[in-house]
Amino acid sequence: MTTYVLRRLLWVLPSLFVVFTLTFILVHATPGSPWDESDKPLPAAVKENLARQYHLDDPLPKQYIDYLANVLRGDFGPSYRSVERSVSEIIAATLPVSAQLGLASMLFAIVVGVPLGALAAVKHNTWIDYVSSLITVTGIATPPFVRVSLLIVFFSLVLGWLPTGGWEGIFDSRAIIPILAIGLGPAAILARYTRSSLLEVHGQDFIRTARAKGLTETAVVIRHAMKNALIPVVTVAGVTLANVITASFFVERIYSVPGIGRQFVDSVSGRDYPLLLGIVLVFALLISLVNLLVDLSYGFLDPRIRYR
Amino acid sequence: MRKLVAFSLLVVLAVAACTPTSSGTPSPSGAAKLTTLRLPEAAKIVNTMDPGISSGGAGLEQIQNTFEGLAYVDQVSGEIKSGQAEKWTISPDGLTYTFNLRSGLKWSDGQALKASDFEYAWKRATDPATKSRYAQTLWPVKGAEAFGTGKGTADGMAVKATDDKTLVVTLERPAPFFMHLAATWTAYPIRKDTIDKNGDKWTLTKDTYISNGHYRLVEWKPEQSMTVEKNPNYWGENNGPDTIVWTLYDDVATKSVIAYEAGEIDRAVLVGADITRAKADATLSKEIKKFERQGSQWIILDTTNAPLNNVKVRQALSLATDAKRLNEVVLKDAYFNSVSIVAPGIPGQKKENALGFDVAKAKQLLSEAGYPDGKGWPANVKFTFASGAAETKAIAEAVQGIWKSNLGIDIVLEPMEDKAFDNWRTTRKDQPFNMYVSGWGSDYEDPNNWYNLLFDSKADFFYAHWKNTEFDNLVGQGLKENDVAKRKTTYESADKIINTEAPYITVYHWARFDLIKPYIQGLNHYRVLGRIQGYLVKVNK
Repeated sequence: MTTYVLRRLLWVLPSLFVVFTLTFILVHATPGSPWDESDKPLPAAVKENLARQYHLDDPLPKQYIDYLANVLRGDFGPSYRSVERSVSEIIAATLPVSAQLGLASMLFAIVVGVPLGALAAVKHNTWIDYVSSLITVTGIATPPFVRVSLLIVFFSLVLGWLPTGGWEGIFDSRAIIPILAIGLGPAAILARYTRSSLLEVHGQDFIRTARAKGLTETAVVIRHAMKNALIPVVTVAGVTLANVITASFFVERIYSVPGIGRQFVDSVSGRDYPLLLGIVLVFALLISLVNLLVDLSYGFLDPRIRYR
Repeated sequence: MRKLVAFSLLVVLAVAACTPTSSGTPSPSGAAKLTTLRLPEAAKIVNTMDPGISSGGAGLEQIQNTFEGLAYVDQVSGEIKSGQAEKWTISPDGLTYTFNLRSGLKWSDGQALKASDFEYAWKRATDPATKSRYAQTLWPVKGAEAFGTGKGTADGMAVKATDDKTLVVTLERPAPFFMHLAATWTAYPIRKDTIDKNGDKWTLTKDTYISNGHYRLVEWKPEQSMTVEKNPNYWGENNGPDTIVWTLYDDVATKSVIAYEAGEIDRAVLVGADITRAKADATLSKEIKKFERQGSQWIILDTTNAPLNNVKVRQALSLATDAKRLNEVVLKDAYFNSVSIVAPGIPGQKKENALGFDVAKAKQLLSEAGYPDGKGWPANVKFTFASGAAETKAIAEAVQGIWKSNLGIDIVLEPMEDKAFDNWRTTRKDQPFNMYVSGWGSDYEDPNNWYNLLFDSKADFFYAHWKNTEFDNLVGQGLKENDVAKRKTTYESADKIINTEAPYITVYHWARFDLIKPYIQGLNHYRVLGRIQGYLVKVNK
């Protein structure tokens, strides 16, 4: 087990290196510089000075090696667009906001999605199942930027219950719309997987045995069926992290949440290479770690799985 | 009977609800109520509140409310008025400016403001290591351009505090517009000790962002909001709101309208389809305000690339462009109709110089150029534009249709991703193209900011590759001319040449559309740069 975890952790490093290199090549292959402004072009002399000050006039291989060396020392460098905050500081300020929002959305997805799917499976082919299907299909079919816009129109403009945007911490009413907007997608996915996986488990021998022992239906579902049915669900939960991250790009931007997803979008459109590379590395690290956690959790859910 | 009881109960309730509760809570009429002005601002571009680094854009409104230069441009009349400098004298040769500061000037933290704070700020903004986005503003100062381009030193820059209250500036050559530059944010004073201590982070907190204007910083939450309060150490009066709060939005036009309708802010930025919607709305239509912005939007032509290297072709295209219809129909009257290449109000600009709209004449010119009714017109004349800007796309499509029906010619539309387009445009400096859309808004209301900075063939800011020796000579004379009337006629002659040669086709002149709550008074955008000055606004709520 320990060797397995260590080996997996060691593999994270080369993957991060590949991600870093690919992103570096991609951003520099994309046309445009941080100081090409459409609104009011900067004079050439000023632009040249900026490029010189930020070492953008160095040959690309040198930029690559310099930047890599800095990253290895834990320094992501200056942001081209923000004069007062470095990339590390921007990430340190925005990641916790997105992490809170992401965790709350995942929690929402699990608390709503799993029971909804379980209920639909237990009440298979009844109106409960159909209502649950309707909710989940809607959740999967609407992209996050549509969900957040609709939620703002409904809760802020029509009802006037919630503000139209902003962030004052996870326990403020401003967090409700982004949590719903991000969480509904994964909730729908989880509900779908829980339902189909429970239905599949339901027909198996150990369930028949449990029933034959005379257990109540609740005990059968929760103690025997659910535990086995959760394996595909946990797998999906890992994947939904990527889902939560991409949803945050839109939701944070539209709802004015000062999170890392919004910075990511800005860094792409603003060609803020250091910020973009820094955020990509953070995301890659997160996804690698969550995948490891998912793999480890299989062992707890299914005793047949062993780690080597 | 039951119905009757219910009805009378309802009436009683209704009457009770309507009766004013005069005996209720006393209104706090004695104590002055604190007022707050709530404004929207674009989040992404507020990437610096450093006056020495900012190139304008978002963030400028905050800088202009918290700082003050030697002089300032009055945001209603447009006149240059004395700010931190009580008066100034200009030497007869127009080269030396001596500024005398007001007595008792203080920074927002109470420390005395000295002339050396200006000297420091000017040299700092010019220093290439400061990475200023607007350093060229001070380049007319002697030795500044050399210092800014790494060929000179700070000591070689001719700005000197001769004592605590006197600043002496010597220019490289006479510049009648220099007071406009001295009023620019790049020329605001800066406190050396806070920069030395906090570096680039000095703008982030209340204690380190020391300023000298009507307001001072309370809090800046990046990407979220910015709050300022009245600066008790400002030398003059401030009858504006006690605090100003800017909420920062990524897409300020879309989000500010939603927040405005939800009552969260007092002003919204209105563009595109929202203008049409607001005009049709019973409440919003009364709250719309359209402001003039001194700027022009053009189709820029490559005057060295066939077929647009032929002046008759350029004139034909210009004459056939129905700019009135473009603005009023295609763009839903979001701007002001085209007058001439240079925006109205700039000395030298004359509407009589414009070619105007005349299809018959356009057809004749096109025929003389060898393309009668569009016959023989090359197949690959491209109109390049950034696809992200919905409006530019609309202009390109409309112009394609207008020229097809008026002149019988075809052009090819070439959309590009926004940043790719910006990059494409940068490389047009020495590469051929046919046409694209861009525009310019005054930084200061002076012909230098247009004729010399943009159109002189040495500048060729938009890469039209247009060169006319007579024009270059005229604007060169105008630049140095100290006689106001003579200067105006010199630029008028140049204006005639550029309008006749038609390297640019004007699509419209810039405008700003705002929604402003009825309880807000005095909120104004001056036509040049047009940021809101909080001290001029009244919040009657």
